[in-house]
Amino acid sequence: MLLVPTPEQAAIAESAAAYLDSWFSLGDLRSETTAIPRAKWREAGELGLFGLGIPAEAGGIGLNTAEEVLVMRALGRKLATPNFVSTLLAAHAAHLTGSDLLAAILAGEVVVACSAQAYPDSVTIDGVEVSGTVDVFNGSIERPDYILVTSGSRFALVAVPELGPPVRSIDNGAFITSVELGSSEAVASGDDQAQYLRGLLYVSAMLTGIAEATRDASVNYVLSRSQYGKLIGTFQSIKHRCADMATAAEVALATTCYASVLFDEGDQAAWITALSAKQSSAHAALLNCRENIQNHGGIGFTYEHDAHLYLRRTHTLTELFGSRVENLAQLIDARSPLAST
Amino acid sequence: MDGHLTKEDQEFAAEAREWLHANVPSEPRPPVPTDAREYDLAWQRTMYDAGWAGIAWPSEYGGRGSSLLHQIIWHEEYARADAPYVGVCFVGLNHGGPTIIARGSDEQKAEYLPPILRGEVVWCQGFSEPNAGSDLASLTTRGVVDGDDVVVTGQKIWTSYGNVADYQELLVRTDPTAPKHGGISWFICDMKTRGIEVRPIRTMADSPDFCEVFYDDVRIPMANLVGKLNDGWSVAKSTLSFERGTAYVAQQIDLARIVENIIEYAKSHKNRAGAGCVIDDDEVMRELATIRSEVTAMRALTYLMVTRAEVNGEPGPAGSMVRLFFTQLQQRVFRAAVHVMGRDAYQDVTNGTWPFYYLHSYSRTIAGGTKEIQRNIISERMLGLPRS
Repeated sequence: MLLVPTPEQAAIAESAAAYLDSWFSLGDLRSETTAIPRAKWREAGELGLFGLGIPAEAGGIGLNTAEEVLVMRALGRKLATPNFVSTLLAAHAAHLTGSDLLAAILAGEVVVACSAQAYPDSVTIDGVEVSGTVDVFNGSIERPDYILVTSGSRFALVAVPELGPPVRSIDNGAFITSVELGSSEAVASGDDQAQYLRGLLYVSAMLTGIAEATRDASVNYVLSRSQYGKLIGTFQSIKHRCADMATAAEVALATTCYASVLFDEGDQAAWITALSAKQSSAHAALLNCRENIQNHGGIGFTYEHDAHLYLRRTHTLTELFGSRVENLAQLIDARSPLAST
Repeated sequence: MDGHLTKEDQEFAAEAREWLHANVPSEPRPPVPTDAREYDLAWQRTMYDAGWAGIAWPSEYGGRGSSLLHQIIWHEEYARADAPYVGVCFVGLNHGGPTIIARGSDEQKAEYLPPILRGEVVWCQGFSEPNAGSDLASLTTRGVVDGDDVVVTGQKIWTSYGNVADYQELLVRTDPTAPKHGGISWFICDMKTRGIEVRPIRTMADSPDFCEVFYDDVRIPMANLVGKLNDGWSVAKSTLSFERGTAYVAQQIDLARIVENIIEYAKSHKNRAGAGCVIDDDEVMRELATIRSEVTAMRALTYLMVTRAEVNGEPGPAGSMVRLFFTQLQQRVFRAAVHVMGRDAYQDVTNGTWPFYYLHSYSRTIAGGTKEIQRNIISERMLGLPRS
């Protein structure tokens, strides 16, 4: 049992972050029209980002969820598009179901957007038949190729039908569109709670990254801003807020990492731990985004500053794979979904 | 990052489970301090005789010489078996002993460590004073070196188990002219020495064993000095890093079991307000779901911290994060227990009940450094913010 990344694992996460830096900076989100350059998505494919956890014999890299989670944390720190979550999950969906689409996903040929809910509600997945209405979170102004619909343990990968115009959401880099699926035929579908659990882990990792990034932003700022003739980081009220931010981020990191290693071991406790990771990371991200704005004072309230960008993304990610209230209900109704697989 | 438990780890867990199942005492821990002392020491001796004492302690001093991971596995099995609270053995096993392992001389290790594991002695802590609480380094209990002894005069306070202890971790000022962190020394004090008077302090929870200690020309051999003369602050930081970081691993793990019991209670007791059970109320359900997720997070944080302690030898300032999170979580958990029990919580507050632990939990964010002190440590020593 080891809960700190090995040097190899850290290097993988760093290379993912360096790749993202080559085409995206979080300030781009201010334009509210960020798109995913197709050539760069293929580059991610060439780097093996979408196949990190897919076995080598299926065309992937053959690593574990632990590595995927560390990459998602690094991408989350920089507010990378949530389509990384859905595309990575789509690779697993295609692999689980033996879908031909796997090769194209791994190659970065397709962009997948996300629709992920905790309970069957407005959508029905019955074999390959998918019907109903879903809210799609798309981290690009352009149309995605597929939607990964997750509804509890069921999932379906559906070609994108006509999409209405993207609607500006609270998150200026993620567009939410309500999509009427009519009666669509999925290219891949299945019933496996492991998919939902992976989704919880990827989202938790991104939220953890946000909690860490905002902690660091605050620490840097309070060490550079002076009032009353001293650095504001000297004042106990500010120091204690930063200590709480650091602790919340550490708890989120520990829980997300622990959940991922339990999942890789097929441990029954992975389910409750993954739900706990989502709770603790969503809590840490929201707390830290909030306090980060406060620590920055007036400048933190401006559109020009990055502080609100983190806050907006936190709200988007928190809604994926169950809202806070839905995840709490799942925590009490604690039947392990891994038991049936 | 790797969650793999080796075959050896799994066998260790199975062996521990089997032994605990067969040996956990059936009679409960007595509430009276003097009876509890005998009970706790006898149980410690039973574990020692079977080779289960000091899992991660060096084998030359009676420990098992195993890893901190095995220590955690042991604590998990211990909680699962509902084995007795460590009680009067707490200080010796969890920070007195570990400090001597980290900072003591070979003679001190040989003399003081084995009796702790064998269940022969009880330790207590002598750090806080009436005028040195959060500002611990301002302590004024005086230690004057006189030949082969140091002569101690002054007062300590908030000493758990002071009334039943044999030894004490004692901080005294041996150089009144040095800057305040520079003139402190860490001694092992024999509580039977002439000139020591222990008086009980009643707490808001009526918790037993809480004391203050007075010293009147108490002679302690210089051989009992741990670390160097006037370097006691650095030794005390080791003690505190154990106290904050690893000392409560067993209780952190046990908290998860308590939460499950609270959830079980809420599922099996009728809601006073109307139909259904206590848990059917959305607010109760969410409070319980939240603490269930938080004790799970606590377990993860414990693993992360222990991984780091294994690498560095002691928990360091990160122990303060564990302490800050754990103590507030304990308070939330027992608050939830009292919410769930409703009016029934007001009937019985004797030691061992949830309402007792609820009242007792108010001490958690004060002892071992207040939560404000933990935040200072995290911000200064981990985040690099300036001293206030």
